[in-house]
Amino acid sequence: MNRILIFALGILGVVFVVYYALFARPAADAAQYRIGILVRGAGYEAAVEGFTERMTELGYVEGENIAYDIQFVSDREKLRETADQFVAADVDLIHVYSTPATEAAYEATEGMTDPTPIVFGSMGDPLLLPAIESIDRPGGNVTGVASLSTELTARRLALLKELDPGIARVAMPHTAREAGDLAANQSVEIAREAAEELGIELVLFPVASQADNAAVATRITAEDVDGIVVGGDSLVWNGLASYVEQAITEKLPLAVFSVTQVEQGALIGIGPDYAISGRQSADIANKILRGGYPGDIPIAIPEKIVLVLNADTAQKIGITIPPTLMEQVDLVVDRASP
Amino acid sequence: MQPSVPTFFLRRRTIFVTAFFLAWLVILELVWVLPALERIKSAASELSLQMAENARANVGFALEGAFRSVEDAALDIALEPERADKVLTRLVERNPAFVNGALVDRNGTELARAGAARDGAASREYAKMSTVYLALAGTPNFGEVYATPDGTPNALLTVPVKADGAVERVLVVEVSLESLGAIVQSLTGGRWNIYVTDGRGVVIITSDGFIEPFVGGETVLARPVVQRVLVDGQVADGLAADDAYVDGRGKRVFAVGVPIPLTTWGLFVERDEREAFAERTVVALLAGMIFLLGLLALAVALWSYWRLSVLNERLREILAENEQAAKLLVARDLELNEKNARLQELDEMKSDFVSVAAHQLRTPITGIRWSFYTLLDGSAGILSPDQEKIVRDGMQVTVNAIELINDLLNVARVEEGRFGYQMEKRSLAPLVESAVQQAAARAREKGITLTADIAPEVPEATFDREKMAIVIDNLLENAIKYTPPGGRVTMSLAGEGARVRFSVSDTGIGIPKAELRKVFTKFFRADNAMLFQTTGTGLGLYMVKNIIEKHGGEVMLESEERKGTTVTFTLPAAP
Repeated sequence: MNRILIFALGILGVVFVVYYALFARPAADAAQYRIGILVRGAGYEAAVEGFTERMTELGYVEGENIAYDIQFVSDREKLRETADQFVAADVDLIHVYSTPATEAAYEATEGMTDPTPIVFGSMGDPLLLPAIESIDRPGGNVTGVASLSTELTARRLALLKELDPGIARVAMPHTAREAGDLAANQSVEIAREAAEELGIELVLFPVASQADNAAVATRITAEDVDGIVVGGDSLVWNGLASYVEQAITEKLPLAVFSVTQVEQGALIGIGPDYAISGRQSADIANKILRGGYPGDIPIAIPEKIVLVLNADTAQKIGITIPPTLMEQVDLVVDRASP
Repeated sequence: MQPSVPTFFLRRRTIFVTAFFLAWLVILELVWVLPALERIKSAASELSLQMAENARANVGFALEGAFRSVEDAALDIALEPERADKVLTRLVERNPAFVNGALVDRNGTELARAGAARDGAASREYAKMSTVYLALAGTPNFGEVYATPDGTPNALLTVPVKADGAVERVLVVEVSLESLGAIVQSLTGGRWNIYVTDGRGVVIITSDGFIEPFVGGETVLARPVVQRVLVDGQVADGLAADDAYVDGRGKRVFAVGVPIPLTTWGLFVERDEREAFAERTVVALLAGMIFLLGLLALAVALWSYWRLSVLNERLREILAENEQAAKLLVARDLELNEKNARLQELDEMKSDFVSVAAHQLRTPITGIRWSFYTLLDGSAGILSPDQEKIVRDGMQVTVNAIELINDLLNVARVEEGRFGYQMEKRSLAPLVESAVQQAAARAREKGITLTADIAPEVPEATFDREKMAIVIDNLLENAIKYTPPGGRVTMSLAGEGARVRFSVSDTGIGIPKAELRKVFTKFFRADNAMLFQTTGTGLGLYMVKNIIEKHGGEVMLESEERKGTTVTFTLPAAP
């Protein structure tokens, strides 16, 4: 009787195993994700916040199924080090802001058999990166949201021209060419072309390091310039406070890139709404975490580009905003941030 | 003890058997039900996907047409920039869905324009449009969908104008999506609901024409089926468990979705889940019925099993009793065998005694008879009539005694198996005739009519003449002895098929019915025979039966008191 019992139970067990294998559905995926976020440059806080908020909306709850390692790094050398740390920690995705951060992350993953996906939330001109073949189909492990910071350099110059049609000389601090900042170099080229079209003399001021920003800001004010423009240049952004201070002191219009930079005291800026860009980056990261291949995901353009004006700065430097330009302003900041 | 129903079902074996067959019932049900349900779902998915593909093809065709027209115009402008105005005007005029078009440079400056101006809107801020920058990067695209003041959904189609491989200008065309709404509505039937979302999951076109507000419009991106299409870029076939959802009207729907080419949009087809899977109800009902039937069969099986158990139990009890009885029987058989052996021994001793006693008595009694015979024949002198009577009486007594002794000796020889038979094949007729002749005188003396009816053709039989003579003589003697004067004794001999039949019938005193069963036993004499005051040993019929059975024949007796007796025996005819 016991043998029959064991035999019959064995048959039942086999049947259940076969049934489970054939018909049972796998349990829902309860994966834990880790994302390394590498930020270089000021003004990306809203973007990072937008990114994590959108990820939460998409079902990635920090502490439950996702963990973030957010690193704000200004030193270019430290960018690569941090990226290497992310790779060593085997993160599922690296999210970066700024072209140098994207470059560092790409170099850290280069040579990997299965390279860690990289999603940039801000990159001046993605096509400058060798890893990216085209906007439609990047082809490698890098994709993200372009910032148009380089492209919009021309528009910033045009804004200065609109503010003051008689503007003749515009200063442009930029990362020294030898540093190899692709976006910064591209911004300079675009600025040159635009300046030529607009009939403006572009005066370039190379910046060697972050500490150099203060000195460069001082040198600018010693020159006879009518305005200051910045390009897609994260090193200069990191030292923006110096330029803001000098611009206000010398009553020079300063055209920048982001809302945050205008809030810091720059007169006017045109660039993506970083909170929206951060959300766009999250949508891209979601696709990748759901199994998508970065190389197949087209690079996104910021959904929202905003024209921001600091009314307080305008008053301080005594500039009147033309009505036609005022109509285009999306956001007016009333006071400079402390 | 027979198991009661509750006890039976609490037995481990019963629980196991029940659980085992229940499990098989469930498994067998699942083996066909689950695939059947899957097939129903697959069929519904296929149907909905066909609908979605059809809708997508129609919508895609319209979009592609618009896209090609603008692309062609961009090519024309690239080749002949000075004719940009005319190209634009022609483009807008030839395409009813095109509201207006503009040629824009990298700085966002409008270089040429055609078509109706946007109602109440200032010129576009191309420098802030992502669609422009995307086109400047070389990617033609449909921009964000927005609602015009009259509620029509429009979108900007932006196409790069490539000259010498570089993109310095783009064509921005405002396209009315009203025609797409008409397409979707025309495809929608009563069962289906079709809607189109943009890349953010905001519904822009529905099958009933209702269009969500786009600014701050509610997104349906939370629906897994929408995510599969918009985020993963895949076709959602509705077969995933979370592809069904509750729609805005509170109805649970089954949905499939397909991405729309040239855009980041998705097209979704909804159908009432109950209607889509109506056949599942049939399958479920069928499965339920089969399960109930299975349960019924199981119940019947269990009841039969219980009955068998009860019978089994009873059988075991009976077998135990039988075993006990068998043991008892064996014991009694042994006892009986012992007693039988003992009786046989006693019987043999008795037969020996009778044989010896009879033998020892016959000689002196024979001597006494000869003495009486000598006295009767006058050798010892003349007897007076009284003396003669006494001597004759004495003689008769000795003759009777000798007869009894002879019979006893014959019986003893029969029982000891010393009654030798010399079988010969012959006819019984002469023997019967001889017996009739010998008995005739006795019959006449008693005033009895004796007749013999011998058939002309009597088959021969194989018999011992001496022994058969004893039989016939005994039967004839009994008939005459127990028939009163004036009666009749009839003998008959005939062939009867493969047998020879002999009978003696008389009209004598008969034998009482209650004693008929003992007529062939030793020393039997019927009560009325005793009253008839005739002599006899009671051994005659015992001898007759024994002798006839030794010849392979059988003997029968019929009798009725005061009417007569018929004794019949048959012998197998000789081959």
